[in-house]
Amino acid sequence: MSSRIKKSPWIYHAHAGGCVGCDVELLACMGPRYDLERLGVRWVASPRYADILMVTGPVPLHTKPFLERVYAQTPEPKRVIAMGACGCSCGVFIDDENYSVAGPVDRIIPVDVKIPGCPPKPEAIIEGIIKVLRMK
Amino acid sequence: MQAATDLVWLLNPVIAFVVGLVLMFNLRKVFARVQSRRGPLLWLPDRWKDINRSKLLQPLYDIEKLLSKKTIIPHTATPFFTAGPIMALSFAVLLTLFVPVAAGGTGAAGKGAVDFAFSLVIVFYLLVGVTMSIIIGGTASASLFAAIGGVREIELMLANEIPFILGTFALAITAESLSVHEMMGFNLIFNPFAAMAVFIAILVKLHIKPFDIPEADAEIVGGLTTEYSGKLLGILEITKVIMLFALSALFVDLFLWVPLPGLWAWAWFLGGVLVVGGAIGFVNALFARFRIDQATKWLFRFSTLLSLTAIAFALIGRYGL
Repeated sequence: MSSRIKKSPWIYHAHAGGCVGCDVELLACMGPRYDLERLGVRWVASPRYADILMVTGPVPLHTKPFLERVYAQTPEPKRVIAMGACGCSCGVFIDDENYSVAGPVDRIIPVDVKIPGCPPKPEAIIEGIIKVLRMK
Repeated sequence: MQAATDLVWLLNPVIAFVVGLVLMFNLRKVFARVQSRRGPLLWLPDRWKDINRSKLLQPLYDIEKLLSKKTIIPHTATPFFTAGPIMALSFAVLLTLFVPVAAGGTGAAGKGAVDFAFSLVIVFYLLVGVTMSIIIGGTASASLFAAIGGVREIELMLANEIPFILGTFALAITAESLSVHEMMGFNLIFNPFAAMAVFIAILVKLHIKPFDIPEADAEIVGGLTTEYSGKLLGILEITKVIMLFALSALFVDLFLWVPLPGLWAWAWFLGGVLVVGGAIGFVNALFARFRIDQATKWLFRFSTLLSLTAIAFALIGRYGL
């Protein structure tokens, strides 16, 4: 099952309420220096095409239903990567009294790999994607 | 034995798929190299050997993966949603039977395709058929993005059919025939205006960069194909691969063809297809997207004027001043 994803990973970037730091690093991943297309990665525009969801941000209450819907719209088999300090653990928004945050990504949808860092370096992002590709 | 070699055109869809995969890889590689990236690697380094050895077959891996995934059908979709891609694929496969592949030999087997006295007209209808089936399938999903994409696709098609038909008819006037096989030749020299008009029309039909308005990823999320996933999207990818080959091959046949015997014909044909594929890749990488009003205006003015010049050129060449 996963061997097919391994050979042609199509990634959908779901932005769930972060600052744009992680997203700028994702753009750097597709640039000339850290070209992810070497591995056959393709950035797609619709979750229906995607194999891997790349979620950034601490998932505010407002965005939670949309994230759940995007996860449901991705056809099986699928993988989820939570990216950045906010995606892994809510980062600076971890405070329990924060009224507007629904929690880190793994409290809402199942997460396979977490990439920590604020923002993570492109090397770390590539390492995370390769870790997902090598999963059984 | 003679009867068996006469049916060699039945292999055309297989050739189209295999060479189309190489052209698709070429398109991605040229796109990446123009942006000074590496693109899909031909040889992966040792530490990535467990992921894959070579990415040469990347389009095939994509199709294989899409065909093995779950297909989601939205509850608003009508039965045309599933019928659309299948119709598009069958039109594309039929189209390959009418595009000559390495027509080096003599007799029926040497033509490399089915050939009638009016086969150019059949090619027109099959090309429109592919586009129309994708429009039918996409709009049947009741998605708003697909509706916008469908409107753009139809506007673009209306603006594009005139230069394409006039450009190829210029060759028909020169050859005094509507059969694709009799029009073949190195017409790039004899009628460069027709070659330009048809090349631009091919770019529009393949949704290459200045004209990728109907599927514009960044604004309308894939346009007509927004709601497709899994196996249906895989069928659409196969259609795209076959169309890329069929239109490049049609350009080689009509404008770059030199009659050669046997294997030389194959070498010339495959080389020509790769050159045309590379040219398409460069255009794809070098230009930004038109808006729909700019594209239709440009096609109606520049491209139509070009094809009318081609017709005048052909008429003067054929009948004199």
